[in-house]
Amino acid sequence: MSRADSGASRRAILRSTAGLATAALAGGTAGSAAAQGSEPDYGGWFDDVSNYDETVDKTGQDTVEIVVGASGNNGNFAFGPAAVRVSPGTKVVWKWNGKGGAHNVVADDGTFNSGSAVADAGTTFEYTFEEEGTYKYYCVPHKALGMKGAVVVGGSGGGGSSGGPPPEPDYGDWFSDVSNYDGTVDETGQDTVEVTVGASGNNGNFAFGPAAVRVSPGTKVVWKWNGKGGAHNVVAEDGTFDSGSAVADAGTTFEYTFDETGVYKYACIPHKALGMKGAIVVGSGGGGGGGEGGEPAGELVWTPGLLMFAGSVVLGMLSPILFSVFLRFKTGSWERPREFEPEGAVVDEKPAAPVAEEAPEEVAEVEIGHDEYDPFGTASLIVVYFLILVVLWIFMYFVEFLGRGPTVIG
Amino acid sequence: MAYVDDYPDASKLVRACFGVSFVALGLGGFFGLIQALHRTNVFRGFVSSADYYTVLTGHGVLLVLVFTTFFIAGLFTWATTHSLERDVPSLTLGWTWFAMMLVGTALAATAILAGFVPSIDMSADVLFTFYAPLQAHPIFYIGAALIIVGSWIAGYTYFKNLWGWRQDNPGERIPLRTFMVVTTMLMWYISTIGVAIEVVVFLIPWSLGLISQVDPLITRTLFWYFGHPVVYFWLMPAYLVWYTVLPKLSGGRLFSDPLARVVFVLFLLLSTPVGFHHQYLDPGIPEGFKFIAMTNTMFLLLPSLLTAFTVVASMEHGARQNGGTGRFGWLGSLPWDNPAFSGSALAGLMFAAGGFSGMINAGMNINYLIHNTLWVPGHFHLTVGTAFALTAMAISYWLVPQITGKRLQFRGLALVQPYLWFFGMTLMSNAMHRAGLAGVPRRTAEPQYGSVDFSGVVGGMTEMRIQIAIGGTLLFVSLLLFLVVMAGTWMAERGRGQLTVNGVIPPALSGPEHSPRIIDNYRVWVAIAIGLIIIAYGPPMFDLVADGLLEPGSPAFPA
Amino acid sequence: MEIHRFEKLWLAAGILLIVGFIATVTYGAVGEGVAMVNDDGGTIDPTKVSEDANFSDPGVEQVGPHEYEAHIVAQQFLFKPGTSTPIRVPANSTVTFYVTSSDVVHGFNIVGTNVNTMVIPGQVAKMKVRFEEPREYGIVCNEYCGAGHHTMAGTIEVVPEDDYEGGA
Repeated sequence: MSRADSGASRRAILRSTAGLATAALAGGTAGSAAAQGSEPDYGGWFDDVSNYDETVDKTGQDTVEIVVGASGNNGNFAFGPAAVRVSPGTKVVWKWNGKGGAHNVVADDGTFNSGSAVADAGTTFEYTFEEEGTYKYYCVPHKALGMKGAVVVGGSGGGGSSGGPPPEPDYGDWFSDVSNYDGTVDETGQDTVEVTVGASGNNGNFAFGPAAVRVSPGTKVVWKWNGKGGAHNVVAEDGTFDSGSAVADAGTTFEYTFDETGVYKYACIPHKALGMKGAIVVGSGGGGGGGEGGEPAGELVWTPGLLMFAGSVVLGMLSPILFSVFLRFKTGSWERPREFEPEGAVVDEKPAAPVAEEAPEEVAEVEIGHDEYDPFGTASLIVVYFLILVVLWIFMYFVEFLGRGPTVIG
Repeated sequence: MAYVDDYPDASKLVRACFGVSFVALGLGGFFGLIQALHRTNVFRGFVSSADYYTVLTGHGVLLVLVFTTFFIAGLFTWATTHSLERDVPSLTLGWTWFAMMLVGTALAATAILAGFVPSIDMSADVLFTFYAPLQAHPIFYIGAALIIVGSWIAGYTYFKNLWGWRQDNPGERIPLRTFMVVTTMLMWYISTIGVAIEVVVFLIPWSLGLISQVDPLITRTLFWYFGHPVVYFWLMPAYLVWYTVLPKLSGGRLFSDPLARVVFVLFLLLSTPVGFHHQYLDPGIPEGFKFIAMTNTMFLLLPSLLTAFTVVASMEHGARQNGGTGRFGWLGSLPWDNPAFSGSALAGLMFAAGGFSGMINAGMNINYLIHNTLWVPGHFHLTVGTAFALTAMAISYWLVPQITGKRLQFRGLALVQPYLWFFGMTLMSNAMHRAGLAGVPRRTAEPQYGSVDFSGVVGGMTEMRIQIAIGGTLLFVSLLLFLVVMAGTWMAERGRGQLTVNGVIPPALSGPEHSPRIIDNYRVWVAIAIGLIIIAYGPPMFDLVADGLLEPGSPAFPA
Repeated sequence: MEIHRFEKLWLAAGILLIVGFIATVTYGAVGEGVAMVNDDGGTIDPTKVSEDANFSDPGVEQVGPHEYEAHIVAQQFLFKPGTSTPIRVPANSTVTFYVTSSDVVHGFNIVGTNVNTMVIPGQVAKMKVRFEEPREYGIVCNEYCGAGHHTMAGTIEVVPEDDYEGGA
């Protein structure tokens, strides 16, 4: 495991912890939820969900996919996207990507439940939403980390989220010979999006899965080879990105982060003629996807809560000094009026020499020497202590410990 | 002439150490307040529950690594120079070790505190025990290593002073306080080897990405090799105060110098080969090694039991010399209005209670009852949290005037402070013990679970939570009182009148001449200590590394 | 070496106390049969727990009359089984737990009992426990394991024998 990997995940952790802490402190200003009139009121449900951006509009589709194990919340503890709006009658398919450990999908109101948490990539769970309403759901083991989502059924609302599906970009005839092209898949609202290289299509494994994807600006797209269909590469038509020479190995990855909006066509050079082409569409262009993905990464947001915390720490540390300075000026001197004076001591009126005078040595009333001293008071106290120890030990061992039900016996 | 005039160089060093130590105490203590209020659900507005663990790491590291090590370094510098009547042997070395420890502290603290700031890609939410595979930022481990190495150099300077003294005083018994410093530092050298190996060989390379995995059980075992003796590193300086200064504060003399030496030798011998008692419930360690650790630990009770007698007998001597009579009446003739005395005495009393909960922890199978429950923090807040911390505060009332040349200020506050600490700790700790028996876990931001019902032994869960919150708050107030007194004294004008204390330590009732000379021959004791460690740790470590130093290995989980 | 006679008496009493403690603990081990978690559980590759024959499908299974084995995986932040589905065992049975971790160090404590162990990645904690009465217990992870540590809990149900249907 390279340092870079842990660094990247550490950044993700920190960014998400930011979201968590800041959200918790600020109490409710989750992400940069676009102030659109149609945004449902989740009542604080997404306060601690770092990847919540706004409700992604996926109305007008028969099937909507949600990734389980998307990047977010201090690791891969997110649903991607966190909040979606679908039409009544839509089948929502949750698909595990194998990351972030074991997950499940459990509705807050009990409407649906995918069962025990599992981790395997490719696991799916589906539910068809007939009734209008807002269905909050979560992953049980990671709920506290922010792995929560919501499906809003019906009502397209005005404002930014338009009624129908986002308009399909005009690819010209780019996809005319691509058998697995089936519209632009909406993968907005996620930090990372995966595209399979060597997917089934075009009379073999000569396809990108999915062929056309819409992502939010700032998303990192990771192309992952599945080892099928021979050697492939990923080359942008306009030269923006290029994975290099074609390779065949399963597990190979190539990634590119798309910051600028636009439509990026790309192809696998050796199999372009067979139809192995794809496109990445970056940007909202019609309501899908949210803004910049929450707070700009890496910026410290001085919420009232964070300010309060920082202020109280500084104040706490300075308080003793402040207090003593306050007392000094209040009383006009560092001394209290009545100070303990050792017998026979002389208090200097003016601080003359810097040498400090020690108090005189203590003089005992009675001198008790080594041979005349028997500490019988101590002996009595020690006997009492001994008895307490014995009683407490017996109580603890035999009553508390052995008396307590199931114990490890092998 | 006070200490500051006789030993100006040493005084500066001691003041620097105490200064850093008190700052760490203040911040660490504030974190403790946050925790006490957060986990009891009294107030959760300071931090989120995820950030609670950053607070917890800060509380642990600042208090038991920074506050303790710096205070002890300062105390030992005073103790050696004063008892040998020789100033520090080398200013360069002195400030070198101080600077090293300070830099280490700054690094580790930065890593920890950066966990609060999201825009900084750095955190160390790994707690004071930093178990792999949870992984902190590299500078956390580097900082911790620097603090330890700095302390090694400090130890060297104490030895250097002793050797110089021995040349000028051939054939004489080592003065008691220096003897105690030397045995403590020898134990420290032996024990820190474990954590040094863990950090330098495994954790730093791993956190830098140079190795991809570590064996969590090996690193854990190396930590606890160090983790038990470290508590004696904290306790033995408290014992030094109780044995040598407390009798004088009581108005009397130390009951027995020889026994004090024997006690410290026993600690040198037995502190380290007991580490497995922190791993009683670890899979992968055979029961036989755990049993040996248990018997060693039980014998380690002996020096503490002996200390109880000797220290109380010395106090009784002082009380009787000043008019105390009766079987128990002499207790009233002790100077309870002297905060240096009252703090030390109350700390000792509390330690007697903490010792008992430690006996339970040590009992191998009974450890099942309380392992990782709130009982454990209940225990160690009595021991390091009071026996060490309250004694440190109490002795500061006596020592800081001598190292600054200024009278103690705000005596009224100082008078109250130890009692407030004792009372607050009684509330908090008893509730923690009982909550632990009910099964409430430690190191947990929100010990309120939907699926788990805790039921108490004596008392209800609500009442325990409230006691912890109130106790923790009182402790924090007491801490503030201490810091106000210290700040006021530090900034007082020098030379205004006479100090109310003097640094004279009367000779013991039974002096060193009554003990065999071999006691001072620490080479013998070191050899035996190493032998015991080889027996206790040799076979188990061999087993653990036999299948590979890094096997079975875990990758990193950044925290 | 000179020691006051009181202190000699106390030394003897102290040693007696210590021996008494050791004897009690030994009685607990030998007489009552309390056994410490040890290395009998063996080791495991922590990165391949889900592929291990024993832990790929963790749960409870019967291995003999009144004898069961429970394989449990602890991870951030749940027990498998235990959290989503309770661990179910019948009353009047002896259950051998095998607990391991697929990520960091966890704890496994059946609250209110003496069943308590560290769960260390790379090691398997093996514990044999006897359950007599039907009861429900909570399970708590009592070793700090990350930001979600305080959410990590589960349940174990000791069901009446007649109601037990087998399986996790």
